[in-house]
Amino acid sequence: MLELLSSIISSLPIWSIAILFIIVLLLLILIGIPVTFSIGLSSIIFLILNGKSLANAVTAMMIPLQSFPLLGVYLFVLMGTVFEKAGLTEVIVDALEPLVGRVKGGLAVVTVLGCAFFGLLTGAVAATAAAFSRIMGPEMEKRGYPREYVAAILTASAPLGAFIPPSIPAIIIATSTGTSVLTMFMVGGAIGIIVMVALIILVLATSYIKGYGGVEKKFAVREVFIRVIKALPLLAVPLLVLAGIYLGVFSVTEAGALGALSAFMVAACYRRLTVRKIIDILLESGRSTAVVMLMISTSYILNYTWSLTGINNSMLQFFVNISKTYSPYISLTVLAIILAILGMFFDVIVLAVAWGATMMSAFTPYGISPYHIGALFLFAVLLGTTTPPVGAAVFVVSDSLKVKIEKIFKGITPFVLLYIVLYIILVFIPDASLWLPRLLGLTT
Amino acid sequence: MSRTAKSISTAMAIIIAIVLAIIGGVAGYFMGSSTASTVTVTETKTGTGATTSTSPQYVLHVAWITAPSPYDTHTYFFYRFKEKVESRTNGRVQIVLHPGGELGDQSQYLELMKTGDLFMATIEVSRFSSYTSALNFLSYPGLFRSTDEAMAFAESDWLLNYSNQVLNQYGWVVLGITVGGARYFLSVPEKLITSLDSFNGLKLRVMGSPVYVEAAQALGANPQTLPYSECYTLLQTKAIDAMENEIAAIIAMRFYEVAPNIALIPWAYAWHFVVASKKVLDNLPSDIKQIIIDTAKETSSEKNAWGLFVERVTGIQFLVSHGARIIQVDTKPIFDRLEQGFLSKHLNEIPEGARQWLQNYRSSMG
Amino acid sequence: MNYSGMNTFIAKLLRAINRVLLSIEATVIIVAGVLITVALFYGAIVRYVIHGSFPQEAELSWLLYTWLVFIGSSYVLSKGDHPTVTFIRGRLGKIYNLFIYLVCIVYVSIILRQAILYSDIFVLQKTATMGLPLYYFYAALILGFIFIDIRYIMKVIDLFVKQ
Ligand code: NA
Ligand code: NA
Repeated sequence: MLELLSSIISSLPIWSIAILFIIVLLLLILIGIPVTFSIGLSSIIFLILNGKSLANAVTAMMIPLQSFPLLGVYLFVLMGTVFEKAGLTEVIVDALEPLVGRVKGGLAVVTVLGCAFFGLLTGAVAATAAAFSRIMGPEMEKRGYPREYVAAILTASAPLGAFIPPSIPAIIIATSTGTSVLTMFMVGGAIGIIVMVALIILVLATSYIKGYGGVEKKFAVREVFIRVIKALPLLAVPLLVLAGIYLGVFSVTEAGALGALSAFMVAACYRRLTVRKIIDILLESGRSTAVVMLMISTSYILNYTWSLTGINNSMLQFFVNISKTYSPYISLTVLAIILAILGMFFDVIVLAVAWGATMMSAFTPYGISPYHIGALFLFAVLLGTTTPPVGAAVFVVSDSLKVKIEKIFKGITPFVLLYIVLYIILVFIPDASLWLPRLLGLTT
Repeated sequence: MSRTAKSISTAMAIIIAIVLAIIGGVAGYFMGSSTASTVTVTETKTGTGATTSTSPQYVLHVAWITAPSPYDTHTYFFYRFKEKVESRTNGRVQIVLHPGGELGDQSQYLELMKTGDLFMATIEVSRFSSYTSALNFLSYPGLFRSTDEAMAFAESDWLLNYSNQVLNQYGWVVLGITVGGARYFLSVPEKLITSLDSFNGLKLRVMGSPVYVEAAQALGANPQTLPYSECYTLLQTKAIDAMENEIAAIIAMRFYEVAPNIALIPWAYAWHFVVASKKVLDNLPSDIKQIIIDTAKETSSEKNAWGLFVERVTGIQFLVSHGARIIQVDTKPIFDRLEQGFLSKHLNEIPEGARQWLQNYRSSMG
Repeated sequence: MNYSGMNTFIAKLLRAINRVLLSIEATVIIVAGVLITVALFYGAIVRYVIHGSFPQEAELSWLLYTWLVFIGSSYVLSKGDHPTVTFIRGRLGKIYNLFIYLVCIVYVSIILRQAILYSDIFVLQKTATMGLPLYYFYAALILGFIFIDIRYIMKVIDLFVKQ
């Protein structure tokens, strides 16, 4: 039977093998095999059907562990977890609330800004979603926002946690495309600022039209002042990290260690740490890092499979042909569409790993900046966290607010549409993602 | 049972059937796995048995670490090699290219060739050091004082034989040896390297092996062994002052953008070994095997010539036109210092034959 | 996993295995995590403040990270699972979940088998700077995947013990 399948596979044109591969992968994911194992299993199946030995799947898995920049995944997760577990998210919300909370839809704005601010302290979407659902969820409901709407805002804002640097997807994308992590961070920052502004406009407009969140609290000036002062030490951590990098003391990865250590320090100053809590923080960070890194590790099997079976090479030809026949921007659009569609079903960071090198060779000869391609991957990864049926942000919010996933998807439609518009802008206007690194004098 | 529940269960039944079939396939593979080990040589059956058929009988995979670029000598080598082998075998062999680190890095290539999943790759000599230290001497700073010297040694029969003696036991056959290029120093705008004194206290990134640290210390520098992937950013933020690299890599990694001062001191050399999988090579028919061995050797020496051209002409032109500053330095004091402070302590690690060759070469050159 | 309400032999056994696994996993995660953070911080300080170098930084953190990730991957299973789409799986019963776990066990065992078969290659190698044998690294993968397999087998037993 295996021989029969094998001979059928080898007689098929390569593009149909690629499609077959995606179908098998999606099937495994949808029936409920953990995403990581689905990636590994589908790769192994195709390696066998192509007559390749499996021995090297194992070495492929070891590749990302050796990558120095990918240590940043752990360090920036650790940094964010300290803030989250130490309950310092409240301090941020307390400070933002009196500042912007008084307009109609103010609390919604607080959520967006809070996620962006928290983005400076963490690198992960799920951590941001978890931190803010717990605090903003009950509070917003109390003030008359419908629960589905609250869930939708939280889901749509959580990606800011990974757009604003430090950013775990940015580290992975930079590593797999061979570009500078620092510059990729700033690309994320550029997009993050745009997303943040767009989200604020959208939530203000919706709240105004639907009349959400009319009753907002009033604060004495003294109270406002105290709350803002209380939040300022939190800023010390990202400032220290950025200064450490810019002054040439720390490499970006080492700065993650600085960030994590200083996060512990700050949390201790707020008197939010106990030994029990420190252990919790370390275990939780280890857990989330293992989830991400095992997936990245397994994606290297995928990369290996697609390279050896010729799928990557034919993808390269495919994009080059579109660039030649039409224009590199049409080609980028096709890439963007593929990423957005697949991003619905699994974390497309996997594709950044499997395709990183291939996409660089497909687009850079046509004058497309590697960071522009990186920006599209980053946006697609984060868009994917908010879209049905699978998404990190969606899962976390649904779980902590006890809202059915189907309901979130209804509420989030306007936000997803906004994201798609921004995505189109990113594809066609390179400056939309490159303005910040360029402003900072980084070569793109 | 509601209609939706029914259709869900029908769908599930189908999905499970498919998955079971797949798993059955995988299980079947393991039942017969003792014989199912496959190599990259995939023999396609040509139904008519015609000998001049254009469909390839042997598909051979080759890989290299760098992205295709006109300044890259790996790319040059494999493009030429593919073209020649495919035409010389009348299309019986098809070479599939995997550039840009598509199949992982060079340590993976070595493993893939050992198992026979990859046919050929270019490997930097330092990658062998995780298996054997017998080839380490090649990249010792100061051993070769000019690119001509290094290239003559690369194409010598002594080195090819010696390398094969060392590496055959691991399942690799060396078909050719080329000089990847001289490793020059490049530094950030504030730091210029113009003489031996410039190295004093210089935060210099070197490769992560004790000999480079020692050699850099001999020059008076403060060596750092930070990972290559961090170098661009480290130079950008001036966490390090300088690093050392080949011209082609300086261009490919765009290091000249952040470290535009390039001092032409060839303190060490990169060596690209053209390595094939013994397992795959030995399974090829002898006529094809011979074509491959000859073509690899011939193309290796073309790669050397092209590398020299890139290093001396086109690469330098590219760098200058992109704002880099090329600094000519009197290299004698630097080589003398490396000789006294570093090489003299490691003479026993350099094979007698290599020392002999160098002596003969230098005396014949006057 | 919580078997506190039960006192059957199997429940006791599962509890004991779980305790052993957890203590190993937690120790590795905490020790590796702390050491990675400290090593990287120290590396930067040595370079900038004392103008020295810490050439072991990269290999040490590579080794620690390998252990953290692979042993951590098993710890993930101590409560819950690696990210999974549950909207079909959640609606179906015990037999279906058994099927999913079995697929996971098959996959993990394939990788495990290959890693062990591969030992004849990685035992030959050592790292460049510190000369660490490469089996220090592969051991993390092998042990981690053995733990994952055990945890899935426990989940299977758990499916049937709970009633
Ligand atoms: Na962030
Ligand atoms: Na999604």
